[in-house]
Amino acid sequence: MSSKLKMAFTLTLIGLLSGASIWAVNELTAPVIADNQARAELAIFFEFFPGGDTVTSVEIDDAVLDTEYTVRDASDTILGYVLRGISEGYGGRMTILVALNPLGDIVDIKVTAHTETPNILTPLLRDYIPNLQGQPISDVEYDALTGATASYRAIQNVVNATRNVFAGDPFIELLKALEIDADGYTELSPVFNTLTQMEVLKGSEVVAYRVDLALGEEVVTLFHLGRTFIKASSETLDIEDLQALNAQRGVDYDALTGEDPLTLLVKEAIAELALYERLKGHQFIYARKTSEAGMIYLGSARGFGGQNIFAITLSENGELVAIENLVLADTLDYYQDVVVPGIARLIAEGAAGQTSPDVFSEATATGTSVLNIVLEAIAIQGGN
Amino acid sequence: MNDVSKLQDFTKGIIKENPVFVALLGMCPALAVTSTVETAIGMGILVVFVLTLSNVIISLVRKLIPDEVRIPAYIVIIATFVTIVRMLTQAYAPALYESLGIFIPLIVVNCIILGRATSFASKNNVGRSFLDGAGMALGFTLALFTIGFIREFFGTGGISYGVYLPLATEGKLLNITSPLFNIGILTGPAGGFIILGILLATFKQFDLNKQAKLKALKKAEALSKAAQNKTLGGLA
Repeated sequence: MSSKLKMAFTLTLIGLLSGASIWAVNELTAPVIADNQARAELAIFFEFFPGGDTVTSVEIDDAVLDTEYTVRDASDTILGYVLRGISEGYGGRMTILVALNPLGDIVDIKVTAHTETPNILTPLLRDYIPNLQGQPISDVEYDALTGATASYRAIQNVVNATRNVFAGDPFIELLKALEIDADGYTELSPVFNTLTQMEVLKGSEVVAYRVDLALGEEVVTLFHLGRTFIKASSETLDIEDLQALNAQRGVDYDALTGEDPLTLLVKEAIAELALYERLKGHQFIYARKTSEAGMIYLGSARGFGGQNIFAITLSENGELVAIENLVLADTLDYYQDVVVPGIARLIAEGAAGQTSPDVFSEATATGTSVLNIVLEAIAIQGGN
Repeated sequence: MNDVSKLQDFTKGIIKENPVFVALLGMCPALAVTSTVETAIGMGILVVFVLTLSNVIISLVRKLIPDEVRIPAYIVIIATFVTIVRMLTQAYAPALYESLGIFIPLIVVNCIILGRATSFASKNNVGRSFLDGAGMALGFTLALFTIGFIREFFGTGGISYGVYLPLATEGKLLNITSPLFNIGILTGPAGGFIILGILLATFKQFDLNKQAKLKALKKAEALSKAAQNKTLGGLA
């Protein structure tokens, strides 16, 4: 009996010591391992989308897919999406990543974890994944012959799940329907009255604007190329209004007829888009119409103490009405003693005639930059 | 124990009783992870760690473990070290962990380790067990390195470094582009068997030559003795 007890005791003790040491090492290595895995995953994302800078993820409620990642570059432009799914292959679960560009074309597919026979999977990935690259996710043509292997079926399974999740994006579908050739889009901060806005990019050139307009409960998606609106889509809006608007495709927005709320909203949005195009490249961060048919330009001017932000109001015919300081980086005394009297003189004497900062009584840094943004605002207004 | 036998405890595993080439143990990793020098060395380092420490611990507790539960107790001790090694590799040498894959957990069933535990560490003191474990593991590493060097050098024309092991730099030594040094089959599984076969045959041939020499020496000695006896008899 005592020898049996000794055996049991020895084995229990060894088991306990073993468990304790494994626990201790696990405590030490687990965070490092998690960090390694996250870094390895990031490296794969940036391999899909060279130039990628940040990755955000959302969990997906789906039988096959679990996460959708969005890859952006340093300037916050969306480079593409990666959807991660798990599907059963021949040897067990396979973790598969499907990378899509913003238009929903397959960029690449990678198997990141699997227990398949390497001799089956390696040639499959080498020979058949390239056939899927470049295909639109909404309409993928598979290779019928290789479809026979379980590994390929697992990949198909994840790609099909990706289609079901992704092809539902109306933006992607609309871009395709409109045959807009774009390879990315940026979300801009909502600086305008009517619209939150996205630029549709091809390389660094803007080829179209995609605009979401809120009309009551509805959201209308509008594409604007130059001054042409092309398509608006909504599930429940009055379809006749939409058709009437679309019938006027190519018409200058000022000449759009119809007084229904949708037409009025579209007119205002297109006017703001036109304004946005003019503001681009200037130092203004915002502009909108005033109630008296004039314009307010919000501009940033580098002063002696840093960036000052001014709101410049111009009348309909381009005369300077007011300059209001919104953010002051200069010292208050300096601003009140030097800048304010200069601004008053500028308004009194008519800014359009001024070309030198003498109006600010001395050539100060703030005076020069305020005059510059006023002249620039007038120039933009003149081009209206 | 004198210094000579201490030295022998350490050196016997390297050539004379080399676990791979002489005892034919640990064949599975010797074939599977020797397609590059780095993975071979990586596996070698892990085995040095596991074998040396398991030998030391088993030798320490050898008198406490009842004979009936010797094998399960040894296996638990070895498995603990293997699990620790696996976690450390995954954390600090992830590329090596990826490339060695299933062969890290399989160190548990590597015959060399249980073999040394039962045949040496369970019968000898800690110092000798340490030297034995370290020597055997170094012999194993040397064997893997030899196979890996031949396979990688003749298979790819060079030896890469810094790819799997966490070295500060990355590169390739001896970059030769001749087709003679680009025998693709050597880096595949078949290449492992071919090179191991050639090396085993070479070792066997050395052994045969040595035995033949010994035999010849003995024969010569016997002959000279006989001749001496004859001469002595003649003189008498």
